[in-house]
Amino acid sequence: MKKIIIVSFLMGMMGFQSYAQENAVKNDAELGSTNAYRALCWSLGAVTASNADGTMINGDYTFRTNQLTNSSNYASWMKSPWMILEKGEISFVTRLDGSAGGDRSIIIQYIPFDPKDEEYGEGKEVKFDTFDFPNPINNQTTLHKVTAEVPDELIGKTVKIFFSFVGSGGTARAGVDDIYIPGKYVSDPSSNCFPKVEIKDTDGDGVSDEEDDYPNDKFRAYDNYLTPKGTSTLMFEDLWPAKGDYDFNDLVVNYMINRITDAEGDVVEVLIDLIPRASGAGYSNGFGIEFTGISPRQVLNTSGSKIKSASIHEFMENGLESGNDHATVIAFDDVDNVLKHPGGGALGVNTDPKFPIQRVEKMTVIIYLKHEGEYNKDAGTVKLKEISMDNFNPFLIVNQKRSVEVHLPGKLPTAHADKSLFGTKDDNSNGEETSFYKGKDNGLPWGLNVTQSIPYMVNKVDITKGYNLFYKWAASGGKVYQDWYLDNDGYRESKVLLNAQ
Amino acid sequence: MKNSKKIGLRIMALIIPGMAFFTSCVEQPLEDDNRLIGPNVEAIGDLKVSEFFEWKTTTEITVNIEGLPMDVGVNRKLALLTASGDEIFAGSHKMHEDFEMSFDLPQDIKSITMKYGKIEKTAEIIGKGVSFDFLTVVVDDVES
Repeated sequence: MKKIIIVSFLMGMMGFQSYAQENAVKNDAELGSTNAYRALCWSLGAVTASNADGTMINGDYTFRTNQLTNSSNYASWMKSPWMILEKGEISFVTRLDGSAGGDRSIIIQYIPFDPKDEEYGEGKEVKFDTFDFPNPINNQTTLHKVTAEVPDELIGKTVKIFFSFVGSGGTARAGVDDIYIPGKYVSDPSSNCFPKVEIKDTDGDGVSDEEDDYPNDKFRAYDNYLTPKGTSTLMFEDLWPAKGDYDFNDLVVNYMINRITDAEGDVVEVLIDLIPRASGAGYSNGFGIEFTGISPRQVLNTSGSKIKSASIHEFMENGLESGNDHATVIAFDDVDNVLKHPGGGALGVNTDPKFPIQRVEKMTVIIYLKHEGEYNKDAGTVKLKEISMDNFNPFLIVNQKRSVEVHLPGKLPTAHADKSLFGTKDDNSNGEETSFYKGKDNGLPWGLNVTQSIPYMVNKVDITKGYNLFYKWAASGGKVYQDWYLDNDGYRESKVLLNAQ
Repeated sequence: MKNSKKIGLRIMALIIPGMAFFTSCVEQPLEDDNRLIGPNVEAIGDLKVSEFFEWKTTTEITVNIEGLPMDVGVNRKLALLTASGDEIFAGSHKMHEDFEMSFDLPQDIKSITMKYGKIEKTAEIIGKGVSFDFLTVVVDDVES
């Protein structure tokens, strides 16, 4: 072992950014927090990252031991993360704080990996070198650069390097800085700092089978649902711009949206499960969804829409509706495509308890944004945060009139909407973004979006009669009874609610 | 005696309308308990809301995660969940990178759980945000 006394050890602060890419593990204490180093899989006992002058070596922080009056190797100590050692020298800079003391030493050990130790994976430590501070200890503040050759038998082995600070008598502490250990960092801070292990990744996408929702598909990795609690409910009135009867059942559609992402975080597909549940209208309404901000050119293809042969809509090659600024899919162009009328003079479907509830069926519309890793290079990929509730813009198309759309309150119309209708009759849309699709005199909407599947109103009964707290919620501006739609005691009047699903 | 009765009645006549006036001016607290739950007596025709009310049943929550200070070569699934175990996010995440994303969550969700390998942390939503890091706080056994 070489012991080099350095009178003036000038070593700049090392701004290390990477453990993973280096062939050495380094530690200069400059993170200033033992918890930060523990997160990087260093272990420390009775050692702190300190800016105290007495033990300072360089930079803003140096590791500082307790008073070294104990010969136990666990009295004051540091352990490196798990590493595969390489040939070379372990080195560090150390000093004492000038206080009195008997002897002071630093024991250098290694700890082999032992899988039988389920808590830390540590085998029994083995000492391979020692640095003794020269006597006398009293008043000693000299910097020492200490080096120790990695023993040949440890090269290529998975070990921790274990430094123990020991001593007898007095109060002197040690400072330690600029630790350098040749080798590769192999700890995994996400797995209790155990050594990294080979993961099983059948499709080779870099996501372990255990964490992959599609372990056999390298182009898909994760499911990401837009709303976390299963299906949600959209409910529309269709007399816009005139006010309606506020039963919000002219079209009732449940939805659940899964944005499937790949290992890079790109959205591969948007799966839109829809359950058209009720149509309380005499109108032949359609239903579409705009994803505001997503360019139609970013969409490779779509599938699953239910469009009749003589449709009022025109479509692009990728299945999106033509003529829109943002990607817009028409899920169905006529509610008759997706809900069977019961006949017998019923005004709508599944909104009059006098008529039998018609069977409802789930349909799935898929928007393809990437196919086998390929996407429209000119338009770019779509990231998960680009498809959120903010740019989810579902709308009703009134009675086969493409230019008459009903959106949720505060949402903007598509390029097909007849702008001359805004601000007419009971509509307050005045060009201000928040004003669209809200009532002129009362601020009431023509559409509601509830993040749960909830029952809807019987025909011609307004929503406040079925949901007792809706009025209070709305009148308070959403400050009270934010859970108005839940099935809690006293919240609902079931006799005026229907629940086809 | 008659006079004092008259004076009393006059005082009452002044006080009672005054009390009624002041009572009607006292701002009533918003009903936030279940006392008023029952058959609805409010008519939709009377309902007027602020033009700024967004009619959302969700709140936008921003989740922030502070990555490790150095690249440790770990890139694996980061999952964010509600207290009931519903996943609101899943994606590959490098442990040394910061993370920030906003989610529209039902308003009854009060906390978020972060899972990353064997690390699992739950934090309350404060305001409109929730923050995590990968640190495990240990109190150092050091002498002052």
